[in-house]
Amino acid sequence: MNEPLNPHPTAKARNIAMALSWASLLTACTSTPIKPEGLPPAPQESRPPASAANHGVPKPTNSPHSATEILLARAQETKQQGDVLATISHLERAVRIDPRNPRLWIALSQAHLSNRDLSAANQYVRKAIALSHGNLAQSSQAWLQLANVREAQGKASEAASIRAKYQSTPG
Amino acid sequence: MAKQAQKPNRGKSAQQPRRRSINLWRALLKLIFYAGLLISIAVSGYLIHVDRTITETFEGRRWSVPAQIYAQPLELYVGSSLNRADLKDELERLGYRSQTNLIHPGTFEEHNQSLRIYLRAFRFMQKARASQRITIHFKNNQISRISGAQGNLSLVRLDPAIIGSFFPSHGEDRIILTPNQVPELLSQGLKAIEDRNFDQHAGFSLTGIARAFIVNLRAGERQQGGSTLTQQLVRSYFLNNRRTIERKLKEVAMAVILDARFSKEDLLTAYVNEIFLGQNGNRAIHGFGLGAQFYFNKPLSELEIHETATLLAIIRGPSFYNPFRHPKRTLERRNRILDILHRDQIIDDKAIYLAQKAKLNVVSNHRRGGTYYPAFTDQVRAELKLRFPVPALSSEGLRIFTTLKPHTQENVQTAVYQTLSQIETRRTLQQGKLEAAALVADSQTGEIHALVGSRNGEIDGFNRAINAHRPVGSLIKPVIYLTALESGFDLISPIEDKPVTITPEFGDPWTPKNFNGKSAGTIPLLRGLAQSLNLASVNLGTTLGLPVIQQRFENLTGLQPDNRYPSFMLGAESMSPLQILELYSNFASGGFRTTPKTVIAVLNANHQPISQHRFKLEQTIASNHVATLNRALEIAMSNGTGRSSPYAKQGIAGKTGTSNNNRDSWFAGFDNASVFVVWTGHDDNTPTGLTGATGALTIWNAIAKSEGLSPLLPSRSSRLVDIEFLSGLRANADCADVVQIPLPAESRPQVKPGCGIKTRLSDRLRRWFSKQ
Repeated sequence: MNEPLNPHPTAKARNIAMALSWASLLTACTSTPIKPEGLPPAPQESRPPASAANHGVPKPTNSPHSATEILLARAQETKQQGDVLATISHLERAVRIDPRNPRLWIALSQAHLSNRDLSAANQYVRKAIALSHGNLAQSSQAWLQLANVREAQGKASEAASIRAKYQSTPG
Repeated sequence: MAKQAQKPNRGKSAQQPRRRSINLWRALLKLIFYAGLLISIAVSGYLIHVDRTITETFEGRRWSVPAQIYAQPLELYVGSSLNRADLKDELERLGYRSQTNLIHPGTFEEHNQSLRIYLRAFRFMQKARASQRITIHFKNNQISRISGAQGNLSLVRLDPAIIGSFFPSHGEDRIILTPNQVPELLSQGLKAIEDRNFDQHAGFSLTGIARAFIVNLRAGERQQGGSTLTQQLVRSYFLNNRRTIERKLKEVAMAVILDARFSKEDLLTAYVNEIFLGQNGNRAIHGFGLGAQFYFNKPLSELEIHETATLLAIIRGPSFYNPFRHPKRTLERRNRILDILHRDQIIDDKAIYLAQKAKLNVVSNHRRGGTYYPAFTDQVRAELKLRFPVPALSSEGLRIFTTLKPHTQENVQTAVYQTLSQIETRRTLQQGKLEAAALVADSQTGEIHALVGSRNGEIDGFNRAINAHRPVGSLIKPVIYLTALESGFDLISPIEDKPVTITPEFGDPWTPKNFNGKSAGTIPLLRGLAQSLNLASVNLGTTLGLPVIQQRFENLTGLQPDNRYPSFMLGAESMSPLQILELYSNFASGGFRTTPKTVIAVLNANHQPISQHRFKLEQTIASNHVATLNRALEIAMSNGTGRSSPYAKQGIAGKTGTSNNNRDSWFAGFDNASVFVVWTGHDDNTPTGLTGATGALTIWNAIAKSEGLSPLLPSRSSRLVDIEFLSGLRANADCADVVQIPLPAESRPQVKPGCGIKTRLSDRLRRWFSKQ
């Protein structure tokens, strides 16, 4: 499927929006709608990159999702360093561990969007929407990412109407 | 005058023979000179030619590093469902050995509720991981904590198994080592056993021949060869094994040239990478890197002294000293080699004492890590061929990371092999004739975890999982029922399971039949799919229209149907198991055509990713329709054609398929994590007498038994209704065999009398009016 690339003028604004949504995604809870005061700290955000000899983080978390949290954090690190291939690689590793986690598919969509692979970005966010069925917060995140994809596809009005519908949703 | 004249005459006559003989000599010398010149020119020309050829070949081969293929590494994280025994099993598969004090990487130590592991160093896709000691703690069959030197860890992975490589020469497999990866013991041992003057001679050694002669004479057997390592290398690279003078001369000439051209270190490394060490089916094991994996299931650097000595023993005759077939003979030669190593002070007294006591310790075929999975590798090759020229795959030292899960692959292969034998025994079929293919993939990403292309896992030129295109029978039916759901039908819509004859525009009339020869009359749509009723499916398909169904088939598979006749609706369409996997991925993934794949990424020799193979998916089915279809496929297992499976009611969706005259037996299905396809039949296409349920499904049962299941989650539909399976009437468990199905809001199922279910007034009125 060939999808049109977005012309340049809105690229900066879109990147800012994506960065914001990325940050909010990383702080979102996996299974329940988030209360603003209940945000867990973003894992690894302030830590130095894990050394080659140490795959994990010093502090234990007994959540079964801790593995994917770490990989999301590593993906964020590499994304900030501009290494989108490494970002995709970390996120795919996370998906292999937890393939039905919509947050990971949203992040994967964002990574491919920043890599200008609109087809992949579109399909991954659709996957996220399908998997987040029944979870309002995650579903909203997924739809807002779809708006980013639509905008990049040059479908600004569709993007605007999606945002209008989902930006007010908590999460 | 006459006298005078005679004298000179006499003198002349005496001189003439002398002069003639001088002339003759001169001519002969000339001849010899010119002949010599010619021969010298010819020999020089030949040597120059040989020099160029062998130098080019040697250089080419030295730098031709085959691609290494890796399986998926096992991820260890807090909360993962893995108990101590499972992890120990995985470690042993990777060649980790039990050791009490974790001195070397590649070892582990067992405790009551934990395992200490000395992880090997490995360069993963993202970055290198140094070797490190970690402790995995278990609680309730889960990992509860992972600790390392710097505190607790949340995520760590084992090094991945090497599962093969691509090498240019047919059948030759090897793991290439660099000079600094060749252990000192091996290089010293090679010289001590095979070529004592290696560092001094010029590629050929007369003293070596003499020494070997004396040693062999004393021993009464051929203990030492007279050939230098360089000569052995030349033989392996360029020559055959025929023992002729001509070949021997060629060998010496080539060895001398090689020795002049290259350093001793280069030659020794080439030898270490080249030498033939055994045969595994049609895969030739070359070099000590692969030899260590093949015989001991671990890297060369981790071999113990007695294990290195065993490899040194095998060189002399990989067939004669095959440690699996001739352990006693091999052990004796190994110990003689240990004696030589000790005599030459390469190993000390303590080392030889321990080494002589050690058993051979070769790893049995069955449990060998680094096992070659040719059917899976076939698919890797097929995917990579689309992106890389074939020579690049076999020469540029690429590292290919794949999706294979070795334990799943082995479970599936064992299930296939054992079940086919059981079927043949139980049904008194010809032993060994049934063939099979099986695939297991992640349902959300399409990544293939196991791919079995034959009964015994050997490569025999025909990979059934990829290349066997066989009629799919009822596996096609979900496409018809999906089209129906998308056209406004629901699971209780009445359909006609009644005799039908279709007369196409061209060709003979077609009268399909049900499997049991009967027809069920008007039935709910759900039952048509779950019981795989042919007449109901054909009548439904005819109502929808064959072109519509085939268009849907194309969307779901990317394939053009070969069969444009109505028999397509009963699966008179040939597909490979891999293509069926893609079809069923649409359902298993929740409505996304998810292309099956085996490659994650390819890294070049500098560890840079040169291709990443992303998950390929495309939404094809709306979520409500796929959820409804999947529920019907779940009921096909619990109440329909799959009900003979012991796992039928454990949250599995699936469909059996049988082609005409029981030639092909199929099962395709999925649970919450994986999508599966199994085919069994005869290669010559003769009937097997097996249906999908009595053949392929039983193989899947065996897979489920060893692999475990991840039950499908309950439907999230907003309206779930209990109906009687056979009639489609609303009912409850007190009065009928009920199943719970999702129904659209506007669907109003009739109530089965006698179930005590009250109907709403509006429904009663609607029914009353519809009767008028």
